[in-house]
Parts: sequence; structure tokens; C-alpha cells
Amino acid sequence: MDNSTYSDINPAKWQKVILVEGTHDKKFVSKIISKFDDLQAYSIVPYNGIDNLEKVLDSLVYSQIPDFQAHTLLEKIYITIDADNNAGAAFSKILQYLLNLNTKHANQLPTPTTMNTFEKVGKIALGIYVIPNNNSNGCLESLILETVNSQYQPILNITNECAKQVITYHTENDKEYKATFSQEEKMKHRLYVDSIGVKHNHTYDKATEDGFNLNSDALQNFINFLK
Amino acid sequence: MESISIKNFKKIEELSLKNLKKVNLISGCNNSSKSTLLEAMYLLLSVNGQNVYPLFSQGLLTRRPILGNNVMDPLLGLFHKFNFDNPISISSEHATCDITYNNSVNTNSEDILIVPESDKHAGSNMTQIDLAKISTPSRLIDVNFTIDNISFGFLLYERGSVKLKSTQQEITRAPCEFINEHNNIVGSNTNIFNMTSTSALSKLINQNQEDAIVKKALHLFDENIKAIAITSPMPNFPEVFIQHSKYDKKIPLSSFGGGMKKVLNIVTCIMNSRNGVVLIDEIDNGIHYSIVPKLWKMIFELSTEYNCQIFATTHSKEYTRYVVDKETNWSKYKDDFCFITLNDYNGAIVPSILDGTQFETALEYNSELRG
Repeated sequence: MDNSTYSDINPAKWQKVILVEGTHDKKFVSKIISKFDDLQAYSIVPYNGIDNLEKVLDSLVYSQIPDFQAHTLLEKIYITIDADNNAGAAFSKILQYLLNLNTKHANQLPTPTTMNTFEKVGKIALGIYVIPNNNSNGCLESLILETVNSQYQPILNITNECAKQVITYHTENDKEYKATFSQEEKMKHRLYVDSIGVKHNHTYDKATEDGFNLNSDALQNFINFLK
Repeated sequence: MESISIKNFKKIEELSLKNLKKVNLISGCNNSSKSTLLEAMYLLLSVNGQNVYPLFSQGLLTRRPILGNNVMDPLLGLFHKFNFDNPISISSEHATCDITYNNSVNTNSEDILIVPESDKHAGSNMTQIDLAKISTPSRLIDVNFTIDNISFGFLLYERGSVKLKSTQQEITRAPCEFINEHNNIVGSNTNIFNMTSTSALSKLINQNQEDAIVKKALHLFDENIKAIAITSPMPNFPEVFIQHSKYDKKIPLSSFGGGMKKVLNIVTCIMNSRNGVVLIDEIDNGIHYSIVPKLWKMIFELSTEYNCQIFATTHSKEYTRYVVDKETNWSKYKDDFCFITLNDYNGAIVPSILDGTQFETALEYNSELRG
């Protein structure tokens, strides 16, 4: 794990905390927020995969922030997660984590009943956004690819086709090979950003300045959720 | 001690800690009451006659003479908001210690013990006050505590002298005794191996524990150290000497660095505190980071062997991070560890408590645990 990415995690000072799946999500979400708000007001914490979310909530949120209502700055918790092959299942899994932890701890976090809505307990609101759009299968890269600038659409068509052919080739030549929907989306994203000449370490932040349109309608729901 | 509740003690208006473990590391910003928490523990355990050993870098319970109405009220500093109307209450699952100010006691009563002049002198040193400026002899602290449901009580005079209230039974240790005694122990920097430390070491040497001390404490710094001994070059001036394999002469401990003396102090305290409690303020002071994993390993091992509960404060990232290390055998001791962060939220001292598993996750995510 790249520890340098996490050096700003200080639950005692959290006001708005965004729990995201990984470091790529952190870069992308940071980029979006910086367009409409002061990034300093947000703590963006990558939980490193859904299987770690419960322990991260347990350790970093419930235990380290005592008596939420009386003694913390905490006001809003955003949780984002990839839908992968089932948006409903991803949402339910997070909800189950929250219910488990509410049973374990005196502190109680809100448990929203639907995606993309904020539930409030006391002063603290909590919402869950299932990427790409709280409905479709997919992941962060699916959402990003929906924002490609129109002039680059022909390139995207080519790289998408290329990705499909690569997967077909592997599938035909390796019986054990099976790409998930999200893996296919990640491959499409990688081929696209490579083709427009973005360096890998800038794939999720600086790339958005060139090959992508952050004002795209496809992003509006996600931006509204983060606001 | 599995829990402690504190009310109106110094900066702490109200604080409760539960699920305390055998080894407890406490962190937090400056003025977040870390040392005050240790002081409260010390007061509670001391007046209840329990085996508690403090290693403080500053004097205990004696730091804050308060200037009010042009009169120094040294004990006023113990009370929350410097107000005698806020009664102090400290309790654990086994004992309580309630301290209230009582100015209506007849100081000429026969149940008041007149303290010797030497104690008054110690008291004046303790608080750096000018006895002549004490306005009245009626400033009294009424201390009440219980052990096994039996109530005890005494009065503590502001000069540091003691007056037994003779409620039901005499107390085992008079407050002036423990304050004066530990003012000597803890009034100095813990990197100094003073007479009290030497006396504690002597006790262990008499129990043939010198090999264990050398291995546990001194080999952390230098594996060429062969033995430790106390001799008196001058009458009544015992001094600790080290035998080193590279030198044919015994070397005085005073020739070695402060970090080694500090670790020797810690080891000596724990080994003298079987079934007791050791309180270590600012454990990180004076010790190089490379020693830290070995020190934690030693602390985990000794606290288990001597069934001794440890409370230590730190500001150090290394001291926090190196608790979880292959060298400390963390997986074995994980369930015996607790990490407490004290946070000051608009004047209220609020703790966050992590058990071993939660602490491990917080470190994995590089969470800022120090407040």
C-alpha cells in the first residue's frame, strides 16, 4: 500500500469524510470536488476494496470519533462503491456493514434506505453512491469513460474495439481466462488514456483536464451527490 | 484496572475510560490532559494503598500553584476550573477517591494530626510557596475513598501536611507521605537515575535479579554489558556501576546516556510492581527510534511476567507505529493492548479508544492517531 497517499487521515479533524474504494477514486473525486469547493474541507479516505470497508469504518470512524453528536466536527459521510456486476448487492453490503457496526457501538450512523440519498441522525448525514450511476453495472472507469470529450469519441471507439478484441483473444486462447465487466472497463480506460498520451500516474486526475469533460451530463448525478 | 472515571480533576471535567488493557498507550495534543490522566490514576491507586509506580518527567500533583487574590493556593490547581466548589471524584471498578474542599473543619480538633516541621519544609519545597503568605489555616481538602466498600477519609492541608479525620480506620499511607515521597521520585526527569531509582534497583539486586535487568534493559543498548552492581565509593552515597566486556574497570552508570537510564528506570519499576501499575509520562523522551521495537517487546514481556499494568503517554509516531512490529511479537500481545487518544473538543476532554485490531487497521491506513 502506498502509505504516502494516506498521510492526511486524521479522524479527530474530520468534518466531511468521503470513503472511496481506492487511490484512483481518491484522485478522481479530489479533482471533481476541487471544481466546486475547497478540497481542504474534505477528508478522502481510500478503504482499499469493499472487503476492508467494515474494518475501516470500525477503526477509523466509530472508534476514533467518540460521541459523534456531542464532540466532533463530523457532519457528512459519503461512501462510494463500484457496482461491478450488481449495484443493488454492493449497496446492500455497505448497509449490512453499517447495521453490524451500529449494533456493536454506542455511536450510531445513519442507514440510508436508497442509493444516492442522505439519511440523517442528529447532525450527521450519510449517503451511499454506487458508481457509475446507482443502477448500471460498472466501476469508476465506466463513469469516467462516459465523460470523454466529443472530439475524442472516434479514438474511444477504436480503443473500446481494441479492448474487446484483446479480451476475445485471451478468452479463445486461455480456457481459464475470464474478464469481469469491471476488468473490461478498466482495460478500455487504460487503452484510451494511453492513446491520448496521458502518463499513467496522471490517469485519474490530470487526464480529466484534457480528454474528459467534467461538465458532462454523465457526471452531474455524482457531482450533486458530492456537493 | 479495567475502567476509570474522573470528574472535576484539573482540566478534566468528566472523563470515562473503559476496556483498559494490560499495556495502554495514550496520545493527544499538548494540554489534552494525558499527564493529568496519569496523575488521577496515581492519586486513586495511591490513596487506596495499591502498588503503583510513576515515572514522570515533572513533579506529580504539584505543578500548579495558582495565584488568586494575591494568595498562592497550591491545591486549587487540582480542582476543575480552579474552583473548590467542583468536588473531585476519581473511581475505578475497585476503588474511589473523592476530594472536596471543606473550610468548616475545626483545625484545633483533636483528630487533627500535627505534622513535624520537616514535613512542612517538604511541603513548602513541593509547591514553591511562601508559607507566610498562607492566609488562614482553614484551607483543607477532605479526601474520602473506599476499598472493598469500607470508607476511609483524611484531610489534606494545603501546606502538604496531613490531618487524619479518623473516620473509621486509619489509612495505610498518608497523603503527605505519598506526595512527598513521589515528589522525590517523579520530580526529576526520568532520564536521571536518582537515589530512589538506585534504591529500587538495589531491591531487585538483593533478589538476584541483576542478570534479568542486564538482559531486559541494558542489552537493548549494548550487548557487551556484562553486569550491573551498586557500590558506595563514599558512605551513604551508593552508585550504580556497569561492568563492560571491553573495559577492565567498572564504569559508573552516570557515564552512560539518558536513554539507557530511562529504560533502566522503566525496567526497574515494572520488576518492582508485580500485580501493580506503572505510569510512564512521555515514554519517548530520550530514546532513539531503533530501540523502540525492542523496548515494546520488553514491556509486553515484563508486563505479562509481572502481571503489571502499564499506562504510557507519547507524542511520538515511532512509539505508536512500532508497537505493531515483528520484533515486538505483536500478534501474541495484540489482545493485551489498548490505544487511547485524548481530544480537546472546546474544552471537553474526549477519549477515543482503539483495541488491538482497530489500532492495527488505523496504522495500516496511516491514520493520525496522535490527536
